[in-house]
Amino acid sequence: MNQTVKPASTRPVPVDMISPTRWIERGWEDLRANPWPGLAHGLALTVFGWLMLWLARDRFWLLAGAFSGFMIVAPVLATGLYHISRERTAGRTAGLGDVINLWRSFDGRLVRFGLLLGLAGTGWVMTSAGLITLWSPVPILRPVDFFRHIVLVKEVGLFEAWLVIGSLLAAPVFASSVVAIPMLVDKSVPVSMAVTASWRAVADHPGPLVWWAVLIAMLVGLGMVTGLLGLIVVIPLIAHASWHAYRDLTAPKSPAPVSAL
Amino acid sequence: MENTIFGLTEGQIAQFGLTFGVGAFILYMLFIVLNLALESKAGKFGTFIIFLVLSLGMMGFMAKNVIQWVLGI
Repeated sequence: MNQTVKPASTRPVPVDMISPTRWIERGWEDLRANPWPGLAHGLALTVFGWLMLWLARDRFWLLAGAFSGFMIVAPVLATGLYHISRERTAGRTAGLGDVINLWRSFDGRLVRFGLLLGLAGTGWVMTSAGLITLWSPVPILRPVDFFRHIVLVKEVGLFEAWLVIGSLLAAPVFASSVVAIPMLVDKSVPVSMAVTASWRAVADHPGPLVWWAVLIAMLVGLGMVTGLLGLIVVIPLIAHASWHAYRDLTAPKSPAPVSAL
Repeated sequence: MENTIFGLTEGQIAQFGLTFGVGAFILYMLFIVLNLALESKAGKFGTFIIFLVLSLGMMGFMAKNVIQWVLGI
């Protein structure tokens, strides 16, 4: 059941290069104000990550596919946390029960969007496998092969090319989802309209959104180097912050005069 | 005894030059690309793609160097 609480200070503000750190700050406030649903999401996804690591520990491409898919579909899995941030913005507290209700509604738009993202992830893994198989001097079969022959080689080459091509493929996925997924939770709009709004937001604010994407990649990287443990906090932090990103990115450009509010 | 300059061997200086030189080169490249994007009016979405690719590529390059440094390679 929703309780009325003091609304979070989250009036949308114009987007600039400082905005991504401000979104993280607001996301952190949301997480601290109502930690359990976020930490439960973080723990569930981390345990899933550990399971993938264990199951596919000797099969690099299966592991790479699973992790890429996970990274791409994670924003859909975190929709419950957007709902929690939205409720806090409105001065209400939502709990895990509300998140479960949201999931039980089985919103076809989110399912469809998640499947499209999964398809994009599959495309990325296939391209990635093709690139590495063609250019790598030795067959890459296990995770340790990838680190030894691709990541840890001194020369600038295949690893950097792999990252550049990966980023090229990730750019449209990020542009399609950064605003679209929170918008699908917030409003009854079709997927196409949400994706269009997302691309428009990226075109309007290219600099801040590059910085936002880099910040997300850095936080996820930090979470991963801790043996995935850091993801327990990083996943809900990014999810709550994404809600605030959505609010700022979709706010009207010229705010209404104070007297009209 | 191996010759040193300010206590650093030739190999260490070369490694330093390679790491920071390539880093500085990438920053210079970002600057050039910014100029190109502005002058060619590549469009804001094009600018987003160019910078995302370069920024993530640069981040990967730095992460690779940090991993190598941590592992003592």
